[in-house]
Amino acid sequence: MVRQPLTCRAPRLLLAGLLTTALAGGCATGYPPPAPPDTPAPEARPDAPPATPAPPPTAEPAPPARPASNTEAPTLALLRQSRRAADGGDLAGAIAYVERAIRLNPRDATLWLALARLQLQAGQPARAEQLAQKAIALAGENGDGQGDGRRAAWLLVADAKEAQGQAEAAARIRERWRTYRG
Amino acid sequence: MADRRRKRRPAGRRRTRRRGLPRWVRLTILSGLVLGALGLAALAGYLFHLDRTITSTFEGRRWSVPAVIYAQPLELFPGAALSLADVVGELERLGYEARADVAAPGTYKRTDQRLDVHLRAFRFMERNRESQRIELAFDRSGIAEVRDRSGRPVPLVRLDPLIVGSFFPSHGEDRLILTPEQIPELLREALKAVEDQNFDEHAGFDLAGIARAAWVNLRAGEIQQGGSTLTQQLVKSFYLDNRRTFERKLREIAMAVILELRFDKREILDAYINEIYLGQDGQRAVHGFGLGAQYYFNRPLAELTVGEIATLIAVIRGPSYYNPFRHPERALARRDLVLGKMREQALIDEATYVSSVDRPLEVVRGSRTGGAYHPAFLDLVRKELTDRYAEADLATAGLRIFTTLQPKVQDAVERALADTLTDLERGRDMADGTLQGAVVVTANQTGDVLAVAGGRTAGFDGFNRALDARRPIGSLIKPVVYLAALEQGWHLASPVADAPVRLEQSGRVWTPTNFDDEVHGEVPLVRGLGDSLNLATVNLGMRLGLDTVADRLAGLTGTPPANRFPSLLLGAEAMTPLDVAALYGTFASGGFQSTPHGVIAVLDESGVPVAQPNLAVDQRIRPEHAAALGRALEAVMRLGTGKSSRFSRAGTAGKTGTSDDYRDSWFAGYDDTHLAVVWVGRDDNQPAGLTGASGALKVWDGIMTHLGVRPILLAGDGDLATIEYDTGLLANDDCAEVVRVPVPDEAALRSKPGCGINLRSLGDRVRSWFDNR
Repeated sequence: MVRQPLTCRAPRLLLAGLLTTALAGGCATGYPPPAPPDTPAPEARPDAPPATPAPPPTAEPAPPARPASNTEAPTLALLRQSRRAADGGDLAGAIAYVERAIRLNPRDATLWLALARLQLQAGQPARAEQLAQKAIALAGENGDGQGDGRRAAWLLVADAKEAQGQAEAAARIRERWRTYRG
Repeated sequence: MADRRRKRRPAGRRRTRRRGLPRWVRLTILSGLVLGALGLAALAGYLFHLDRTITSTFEGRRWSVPAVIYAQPLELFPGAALSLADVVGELERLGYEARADVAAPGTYKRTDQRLDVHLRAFRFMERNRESQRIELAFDRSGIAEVRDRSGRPVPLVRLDPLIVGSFFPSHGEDRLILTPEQIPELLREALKAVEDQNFDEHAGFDLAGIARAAWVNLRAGEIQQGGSTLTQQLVKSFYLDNRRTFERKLREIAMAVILELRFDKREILDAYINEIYLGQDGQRAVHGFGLGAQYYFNRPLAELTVGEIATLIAVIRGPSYYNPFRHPERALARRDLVLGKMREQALIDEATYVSSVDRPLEVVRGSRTGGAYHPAFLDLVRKELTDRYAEADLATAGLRIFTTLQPKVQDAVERALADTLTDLERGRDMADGTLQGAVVVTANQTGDVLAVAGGRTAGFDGFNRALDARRPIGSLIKPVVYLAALEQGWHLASPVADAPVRLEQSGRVWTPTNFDDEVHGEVPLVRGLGDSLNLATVNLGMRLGLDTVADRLAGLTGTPPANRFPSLLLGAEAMTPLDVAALYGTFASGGFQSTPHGVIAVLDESGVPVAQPNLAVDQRIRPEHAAALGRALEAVMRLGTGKSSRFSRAGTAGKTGTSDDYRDSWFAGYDDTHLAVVWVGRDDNQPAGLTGASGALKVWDGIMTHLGVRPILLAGDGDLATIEYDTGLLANDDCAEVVRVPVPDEAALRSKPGCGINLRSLGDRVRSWFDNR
């Protein structure tokens, strides 16, 4: 079977269809490839200075980094099952599937957003708002090109605020993102 | 006494009516009658009491099917970074047997780079999984393929979750209760054949049985049979009292008879199977065949062979005398005797008998192959359930509790803690067992508690230091001080004075010193935290105001600090390792707190959720401040007090902590995935002589070595400047140890003379050139 490169694991198009929230460009879940021993921690910013020679050797070289799993296929399968459960009116089940996906891949902004959406449906707007904020933070953390994902998450924050009686705050957020073009 | 007086009066009246008999005869008869009546009343009362006691015990045990606690199941999918050895390790933990035919659930076959697994049926949270066969193919990066029996690819499948314990929410004991359908008929019949041949006929006790046992034992010259019926043994087991007095024996017989009157034979036999004492696993008594099968064979009862069932029955007579681990020859001889009885009663045929007698005992100690019993984690589950849920919800029989425990992580923690403490003691000429320790490991982003060690002896069900030992956290507090500074507009390159401090604290003068007893002058914030400089931190904290820092700590932990003295700034505050995991979890997840938790869901017997806590987060730190703090904690590892770690340059972040007089050695650190908090110290609170780096950090290194490190992603909001760690001057890494930190205005920073070449723009370069004049 053909494997996706480990550095880019966001199942973009399929997820877009599933979540109706496109995360265009970039990897929502991209980890760097395992760092070779003795390199400093990778920088997330694209404007990082060029790599420099190895730092002074330590007494014992650090062991190689633990390899990352490619969680694309199982994530998709779980999201599909979540969707099926939600369509069948089983919100608790739908939430359980997404949480299982998050445990496999806890830095995937799209999963936290999916969970936020389900919690809003389940009548937990405060919880949903925080989960969407988490999605926003993770989308930012994973570099640029996450505008659409952040927009969707912010619009969810707006919905959650409105559900908590904060209509003005909701309107402000919607206004801010109304003119956004990805 | 009151009764007696009342009863005498009517007797006095009778005396006036009947005058025929002599006074002494009348008195004798009367007192005899009175005494007899009293005796009968007392006996009736006693029997009534016995009846109440035994019946309620029996009913209670029968109906309070304990909660079973499951670990997280291992998820298998193509692309999973799991080696063949990882999966086989988990299969062995679960008691799967290597068998060439893979015909039965609970077996697997390993060939080169492939695994053929016959998964057991399991009722998961979301749905039932029937037993099924899957094939796994591995390559160098992990699992390459997962296919079902017909060769179709499977996107995701779970192993069954490890049972990590079970308890009665009410009285905390441990059983694996078998339902009547789970009990093999062979076990019932064999028990009768061996322990109580008249079980189906007698009324609770068995005179013929006693006589026969005496005869058999006399002829054999040793105790081979007991005279107690199964019912009597059950009663004895309920009250666990081995003192053999005549009164106790009578009481036991009376209760046995009562049980026989109240319940049918089948109920009594099944209760016996779930109750009987089968051995001792450290502090834990092993009761019942469900737990016994796990303890001796690490497999469910349903999967045991005839010989293995016979071994369990053999043990009943004397769990310590016939202990299969310690006295295999005795256990083997008695197992064969049990097999002989089975054949005698035609429960097994000759061929089975012969093949069974040929096999060795084949016991495997569960705790050796992976340790299925984790009382420290169970404490967390129990605490969480009682804190968060109504007792009535938990009183339901047969709850199934799904938890966040990851057996592989738990094993890593237990091994690293035990091994490192032993090494530390040997290296410092301390007596064995001087040091104690505790560990909590969580998943960074979710707050899932993956492992808990409450002390250095794994599986020991005692004082849980991870949850209950509150110790001063020392320098672990410092990130809170620096976070408060960042939130007040400081940045990591801002200078702070590492200069002597004299402060009044509750009427006494307090003059803290640095760990190296030196004064370092003006240092950037990142180094004040990185090198854990006490003077810089106290000066910074006093400028921010004690209340600012105390309020910030309260905002992060939810508990206002116990003291608001300057010593708060150096970590006089006491916390448990679990509290620290909550605090550092917020740092590790970019400012989002998710309270460390062990419970994923609690289901009742029919699979309906009683409680499903769900993932929740709460933003406690603004992203830009969390990002800056994360960079500072990474600098701690690379250049500061954490640099002795073998992972100091592997993309980790953390903080050391040492309390006064080296009483407490702390380390809290994380990589991309795991946060581990370690405490090392002594139970008597005497100095352990260890700093955070020389004690707890070593344990942390051990844990991360087992788990493997994934480098963290440093988030960067705002402009990043490259500054020299020691001085805070702009520099590049050709000529200085540098850190990259967010600053609002890089132009305001001065450059290190002769080391400012790596700036980002010509303007910057020109400006720094002027700065250098």
